[in-house]
Amino acid sequence: MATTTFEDSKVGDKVYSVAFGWGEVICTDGFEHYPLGVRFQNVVIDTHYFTLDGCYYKDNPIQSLFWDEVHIKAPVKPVVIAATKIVNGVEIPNISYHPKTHHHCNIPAPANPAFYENVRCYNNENIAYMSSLGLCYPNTEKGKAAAILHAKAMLGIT
Amino acid sequence: MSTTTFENAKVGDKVYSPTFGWGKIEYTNKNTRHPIQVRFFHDNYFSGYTLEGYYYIDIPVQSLFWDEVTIEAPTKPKEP
Repeated sequence: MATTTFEDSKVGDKVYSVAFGWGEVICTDGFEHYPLGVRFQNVVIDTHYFTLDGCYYKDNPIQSLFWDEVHIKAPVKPVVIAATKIVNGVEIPNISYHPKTHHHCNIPAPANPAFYENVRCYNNENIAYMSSLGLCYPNTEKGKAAAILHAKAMLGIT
Repeated sequence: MSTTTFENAKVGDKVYSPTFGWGKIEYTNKNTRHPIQVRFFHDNYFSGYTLEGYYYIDIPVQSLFWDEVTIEAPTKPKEP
């Protein structure tokens, strides 16, 4: 039966490591948990040992030795959104967003005694501009608090 | 722009190797052949990679990634 692992491997078998490239099995009785010794070409430390499952670490069971080359689809770098942003030296929750047309949002309003305004977004151009400046906060209590803090930060009165 | 390689990697970024598991970039030095220096959580193993994620610059196979990867293991070739 076709196998993807190395119970039946023999000295001289050609194998492929994700990290080290092509190599050749040089022993099948190397160490207790890592019996499979493989010598690789063009690497500084040329001999590495694997489990019979093709794992580099027995307690990190990820197969990285194979019978042939493998093609891996590389994931993209995850986008990490910071939890806070700095406005005029003040740390503010980074929850500003781009609201949809006709939705309400909270914006910082330094000239308003309440320091915020709850506005309905009618004009796409204005929304795009305001949200690009990070001035549109969700229509929630958290969004309101962030808008107030943002306004106070603009005035330097936090 | 989203990338699969490590030109914009920063110290502290988490990275994944199918061989060594998860690790964290400990420092970067773009003047070396293997500028991405990674400390792996398992066994505290420390190793360098190229900006393309190659373990060895002479073996142009990406083996460092931004996330876990799925690999379909090929079966053993039949004996001639």
